[in-house]
Amino acid sequence: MVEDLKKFEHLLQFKEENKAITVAVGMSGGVDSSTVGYLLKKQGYNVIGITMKHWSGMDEYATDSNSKSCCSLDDIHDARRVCDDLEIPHYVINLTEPFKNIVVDYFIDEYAKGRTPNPCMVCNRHIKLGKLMEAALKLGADYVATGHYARIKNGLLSTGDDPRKDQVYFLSQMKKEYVKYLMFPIGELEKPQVRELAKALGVRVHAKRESQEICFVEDGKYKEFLDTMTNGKISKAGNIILENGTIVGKHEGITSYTIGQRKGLGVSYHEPLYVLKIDSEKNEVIVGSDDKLFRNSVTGSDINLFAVDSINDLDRLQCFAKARSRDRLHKGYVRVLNDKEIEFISEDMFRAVTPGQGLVLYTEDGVVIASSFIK
Amino acid sequence: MKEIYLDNSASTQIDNNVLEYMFQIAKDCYANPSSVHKLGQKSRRIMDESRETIAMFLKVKSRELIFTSSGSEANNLALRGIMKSPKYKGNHIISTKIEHSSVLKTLEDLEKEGVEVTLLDVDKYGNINLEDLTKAIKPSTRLISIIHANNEIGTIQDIKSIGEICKAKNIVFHVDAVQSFGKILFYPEEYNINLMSIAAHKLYGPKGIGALYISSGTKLEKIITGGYQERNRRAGTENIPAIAGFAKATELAYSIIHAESQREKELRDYMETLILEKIPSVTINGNLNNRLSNISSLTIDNAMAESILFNLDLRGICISAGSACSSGTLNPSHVLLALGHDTKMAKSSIRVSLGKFNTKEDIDEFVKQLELVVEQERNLSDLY
Repeated sequence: MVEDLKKFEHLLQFKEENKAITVAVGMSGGVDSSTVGYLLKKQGYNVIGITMKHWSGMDEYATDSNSKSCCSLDDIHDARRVCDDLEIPHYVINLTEPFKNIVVDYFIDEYAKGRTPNPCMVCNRHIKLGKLMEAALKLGADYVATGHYARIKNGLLSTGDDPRKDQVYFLSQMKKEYVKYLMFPIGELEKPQVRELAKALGVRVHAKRESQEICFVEDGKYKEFLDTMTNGKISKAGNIILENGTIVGKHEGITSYTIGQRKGLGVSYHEPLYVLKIDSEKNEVIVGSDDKLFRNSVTGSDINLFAVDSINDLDRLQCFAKARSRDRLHKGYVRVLNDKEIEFISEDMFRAVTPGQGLVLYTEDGVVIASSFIK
Repeated sequence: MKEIYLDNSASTQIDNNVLEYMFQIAKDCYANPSSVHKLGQKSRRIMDESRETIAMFLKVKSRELIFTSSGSEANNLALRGIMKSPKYKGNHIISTKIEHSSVLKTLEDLEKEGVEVTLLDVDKYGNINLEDLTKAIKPSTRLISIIHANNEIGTIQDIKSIGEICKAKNIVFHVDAVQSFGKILFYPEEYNINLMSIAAHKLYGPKGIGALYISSGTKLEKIITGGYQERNRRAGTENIPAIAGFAKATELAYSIIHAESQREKELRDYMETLILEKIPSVTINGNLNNRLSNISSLTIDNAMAESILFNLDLRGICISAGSACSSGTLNPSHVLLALGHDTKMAKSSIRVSLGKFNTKEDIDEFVKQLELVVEQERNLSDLY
């Protein structure tokens, strides 16, 4: 065990001056945040564990942490036990109501409009790095640490080293003035390394499965969720059409579709068809060939600024952009359309640009310049 | 850091005398009280003596006491047992909106089985109106279940009068006395109580043991089936050490019942006066003329109870708010909502409950810290 920890030595350095600093760790019961708790304790900080109780859907007391969604009762229990192991206080902050009103309702509204929502971006801004962080600061925390694979460079968010995990994309809607309270102790590591470190430290959840789905929809069954929450109102059957209006099939509800989707169309045609557009007013899904999915410009609104002070500073800025979390960095420049909207013009093509997702601007090194939602 | 424990209505520290006695019993009396041999009889004797002790303080017969695992189980046995009993007619139960969740949730469950439930409203002090109760009674009313002293706000119901009504109308009367037993001196027979729930851990006894008083002539069906223990009312090998501890705790509580309740009342009143002096915009909930002497339910404007609790905890002070949900977070108290609080007020309310180990020094320190925490909380509320 001691041998295994040698390569992580620099993360385990105790510093006397850290004793005077209180850090609240956002504990999800998962391996990343739990490992952060261990690291900060070893580094000598005064650590407090906090866990958020979010709205978990129809079943108030959904317990199963075997499902792929996060932060169930079992997960809160895991977080508590990790804090017991660390001998640090643990507090559960009840954010059920704001979560429902801000994140869940937004999720439902976006689907109703034919868009594909990104609830994590909204949650990070208003709930996690919003109300949860505020609760931590009220407890006397000087900083709030999370298990995100991210870094802070010159007071700005920056991607971590693991190219497969760009979590700052999801963090990018957070308020700039809160970045100064953040710490990302495992930001420079990659997931396999974190598991290794966790195991060597004796973190009880070191082998726990990652949560991958939306945290408030059990087993990723979001269509059923939307139907239950809206009494089936937004999932009405309609036509699947080509761009010229020709009807090529029927759909069971626009909520089952997202831009670029090929599977599940149930349409036979002489070439593969992909979802190009969703028209919520006419309740139509417009499909077409793959080449129609490519474009070199994306418009964004609900701009959140980091590296610049006003939206006008973005005009003609040469930078990089992602239109999805797993997107590669597209090189290009920004045009400010008006005081609320920007357009990013890329040197190469974006595929399947999806209204509702995030359009995030980065420097070449992965520092977040600004974030917006695709119109 | 010395812990200042002011959450005695949630649970209490086990008295050392009780603890030592329990340890002895656990060590010496390990046989199953149902076994025929000498050692079994030894366990049985302890159980019988314990039962007699508690019965004596309540002035009831020892055969009328059934041990359960908790106050919640006693409530379940009372409600479910009476509704399942072929002796009674009618499928209507009257209770109140401020009952403990073990009553409310059980009633909800019974409703699914076709039982009709009426929950009486309370006034802003937490008292039910006897006229409302009388009006709610109908020919199909089988049972009336009322909490004697409410665990959140301390308000005491007029169970004497309710008992008279039940007797006159021939309705089974159940009282949840979990909070009042050992604090208020009263005798179930004098109030025409048919069923009464109590629990040891509220009076410096162990957790995991409660009891249901079932007056002679009251017939209920068991809900935990198996062996014939507890006069065939509740299956399961009896928890001998805990039963012994319950008896010892009862004895100790009754020996100081008047003096201690007076002492706690004075200390609680002193605390409230101090708080009202030092902290603006605080109101006290409950019937201030008729409530338990150790409880103080306070609504603190412009401050979140959750935050106050956590901050006090970091300073070594334990209080509570609302009811703890199993995730460890707080839900606004249904009792406060029943008083007419809106959610915001309910989320700003804390409960401080004193016990026999609390001193004036504890209270002074608590109020000092509360003042600091509330001020900080109120100032920061604007910032964020």
